[in-house]
Amino acid sequence: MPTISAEAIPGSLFFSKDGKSISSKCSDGHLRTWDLASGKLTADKTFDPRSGMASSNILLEIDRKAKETRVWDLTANRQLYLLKGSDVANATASSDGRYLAISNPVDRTIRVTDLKTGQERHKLPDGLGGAASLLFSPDGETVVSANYDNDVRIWKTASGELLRKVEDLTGAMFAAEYTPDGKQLIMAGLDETVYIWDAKSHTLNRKLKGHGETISALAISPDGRTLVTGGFDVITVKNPVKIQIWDLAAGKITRTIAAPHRVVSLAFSPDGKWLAYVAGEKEISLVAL
Amino acid sequence: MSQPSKPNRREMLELAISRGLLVAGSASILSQQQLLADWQAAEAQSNKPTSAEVLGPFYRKGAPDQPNLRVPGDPGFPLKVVGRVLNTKGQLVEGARVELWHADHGGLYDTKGYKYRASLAPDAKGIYSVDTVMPGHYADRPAQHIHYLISAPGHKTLITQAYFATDPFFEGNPDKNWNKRGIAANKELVLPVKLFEGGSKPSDPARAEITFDIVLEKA
Repeated sequence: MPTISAEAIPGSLFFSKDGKSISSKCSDGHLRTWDLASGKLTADKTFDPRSGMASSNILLEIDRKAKETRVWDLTANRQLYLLKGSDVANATASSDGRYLAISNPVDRTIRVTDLKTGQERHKLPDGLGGAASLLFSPDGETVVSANYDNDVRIWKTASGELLRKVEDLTGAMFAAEYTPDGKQLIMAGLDETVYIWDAKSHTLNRKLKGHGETISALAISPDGRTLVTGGFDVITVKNPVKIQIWDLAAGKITRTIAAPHRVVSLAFSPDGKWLAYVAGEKEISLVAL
Repeated sequence: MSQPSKPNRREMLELAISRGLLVAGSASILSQQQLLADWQAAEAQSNKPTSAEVLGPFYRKGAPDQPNLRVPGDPGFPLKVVGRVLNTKGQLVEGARVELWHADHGGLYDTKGYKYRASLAPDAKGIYSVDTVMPGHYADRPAQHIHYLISAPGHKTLITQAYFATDPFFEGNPDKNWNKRGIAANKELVLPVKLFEGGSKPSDPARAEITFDIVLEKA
């Protein structure tokens, strides 16, 4: 199994559109890009260690002293604007580049801004603990927050209208993704169960059990056929866990991979032939599918 | 809640001014005794809200309203937790709900059921209490702690945590080490632990006890 060595533990993983390189913001604040064929580092840019990726292109630097958040456009290689406040539990940018959503665990809101200008569109009242997962639908029309208080809220992005509040879950959802066609919303977390929702009616279609651990990460293949879930040992992130590969239509596990520690991130290559993951080591592992 | 140390004259003046007891510039006409009396009167009426902490990943909705979390044979040292829910004037808050949850003696949270999880309504005297065990240590949060979520009509829902002054993590000096590795939001969240020898009855075991009074602010 090929691995790419990093100087610090990588975070979320982003393949380039052509699938030739992979990027990650590492725990030391460096945003690194590697060439996949050679495994060589091709770009290395330093940010504050307290920073995070809201999408493949948008990075947030959180300055607690100045109580502000700097929003960077990585493609243009420039700072877009400053936002007031540094209480950020989670952030995400819509893939169409229209919106940015930030979860504030202190005032218990989701702030939706216009990504290009930073102008606030809505301040949506969220749950008590901040967003464990925060994401837009692929078309950017809906925004979803799965709060640490167990409740999930789904809003219409443009109007801020609350479309659905799910109150019957009894554990936080640490990972959530839409299928590439936008028809299903898949979530998983504390209770070791995968929940598959109809993204239009916001009703539960199916539940998949069998991962066997608390789930900390998930990814869906570009053709929408394969789901992968990564585990989280609740005693310590250092204990070994599993990565489960599922046939999504059948709801069956087809392959299990041993991972050394809690799975931080999972990503499919654009052609669906490779799975990349980070599991608490200073490296990115690549698995041929 | 621990008492603040006695302020010096300059601090008293600042406190008195900040609380609206004095208009800046008029301080010299009041004696130090008067200032102290005013400050103490104001302090008695204004309990600081309990400091907030993060909810953490292991909260589960739907815990039972059941104070006996420890069953016979549970490993771990018996622990009793008692306290009241107050407002900033020191009055009991009506209609409060106290949710608490913690890891077992080995540092493991119950992620499927409700072991060591409770959602309690304080009794007629405003007291909540649980019989449980001392939570264990685990690598990712190296100090023993109990999570709390407290809500009441007309008050801001508070999320906080209680820590133990006896925890080896604090190296015998919680006054100095309460924020070691950023562990506690406030020294007041590190609580003194009373130890009881217990008697011959199973209902009176050797145990530890903490008292955690919670102060909510108005919504």
